[in-house]
Amino acid sequence: MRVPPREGTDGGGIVNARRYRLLLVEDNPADVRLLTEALVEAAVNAEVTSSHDGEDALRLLKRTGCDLPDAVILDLNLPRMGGRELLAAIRHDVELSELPVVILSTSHQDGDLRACRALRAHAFVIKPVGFDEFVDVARRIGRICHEVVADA
Amino acid sequence: MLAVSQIFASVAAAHWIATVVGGATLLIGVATVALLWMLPSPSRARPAEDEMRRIATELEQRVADRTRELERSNRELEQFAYVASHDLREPLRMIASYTDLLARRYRGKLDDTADEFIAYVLDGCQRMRQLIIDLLEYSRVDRQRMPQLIDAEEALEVACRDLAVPIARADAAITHDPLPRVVCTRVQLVQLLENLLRNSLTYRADRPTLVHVGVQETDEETVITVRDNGLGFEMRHADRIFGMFQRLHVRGEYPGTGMGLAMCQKIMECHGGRIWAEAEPGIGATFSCAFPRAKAPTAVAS
Repeated sequence: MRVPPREGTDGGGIVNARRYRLLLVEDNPADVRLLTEALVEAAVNAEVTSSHDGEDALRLLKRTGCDLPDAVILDLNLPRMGGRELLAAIRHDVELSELPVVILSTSHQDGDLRACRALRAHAFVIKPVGFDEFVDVARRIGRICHEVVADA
Repeated sequence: MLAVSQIFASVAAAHWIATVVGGATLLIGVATVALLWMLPSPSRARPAEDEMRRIATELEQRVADRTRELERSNRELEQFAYVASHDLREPLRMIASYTDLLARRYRGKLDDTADEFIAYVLDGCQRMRQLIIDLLEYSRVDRQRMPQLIDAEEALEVACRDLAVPIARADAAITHDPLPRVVCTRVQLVQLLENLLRNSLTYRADRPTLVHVGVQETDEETVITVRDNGLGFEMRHADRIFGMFQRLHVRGEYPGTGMGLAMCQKIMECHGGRIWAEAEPGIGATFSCAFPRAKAPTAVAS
């Protein structure tokens, strides 16, 4: 599922208004929509591509080649390949290893937090209950993208 | 005939006597054997002791089994509360987030009734959220952590700091005796005092709120009491108030989910202690927490 289709930005020509490209790995369509709406409310100019499980996301990243997203937003509880496994796979892949990854999960478990920190996740964000807080999360993602793009 | 009958009679009597004597002898014999059996002769005592030991072992085994069974069911209950509260969060998050979004985008664009309905949904979400947070916290009061000797006075200071806002709002005066150390985990002692103080601040009467934290020491227990001059309650409710989600007032009258005292009870049970309440309507309430005194030297928290 793609929201909106990636092809839209590859037309070229737009130089100044840099749109952040995000890959959201999330199996719940309601959450995909929620983050998309929260990014709009937070005025973060981002194009969100979504993938519903770890395997699909990894395939997508490998196929994208040099045209990688600015950041991966990763849920942990996913069908087939889970978020932690995907993060490990990204870190062990030569081409993907430096990709910024933000964990966006419902997990409160210290084990998950520690494992993701060890795998150099950029941030570990617990999905908030309530839209206003979700807008804050979107703002934080915007800031991370800004730093990542500025550093590159 | 007479002689014959006399002879018969005497024979019968003799027979009787013989029977009685024989019976008595038998009885004495049995009694002697029994007595000998009971005498602390090493050769005879062993089977009885063995029997006693067997029974004791069996009893111990049964107690151990029952304890394991109880521990298992407790663990399951805690696991259930954790899983239920964690999994309940998910659908709630969807309802709350999308209703928030509806309110944000469409407030004032629909009619007043729609706005009112949305407000009710949001209010319900808010309450559900608090219930889930409390349930999660309740399930996390665990027995595994090592209790230490914790300074109750220090714990009270932390609790008062955490409650600075509600204390100021209630214009409450909180006083205390010099408090001792009790065997507890630090976090849970703070939580216990915080919940009890919060209770006093919530159910306050129409007069300046006074709360006093006192202490009574006995040979076996250290009892910390929290006494207030609030609304109090009728003593027939004294046990019920420690139940999960139990409240004595209509929702909306006073804030809270009815989990605070349940948590206090769980904390006390985890430390082998007890909690009880005494109150009088219109006068105030006293909550007493009895901690067993440390028998063996316990590590003092640094």
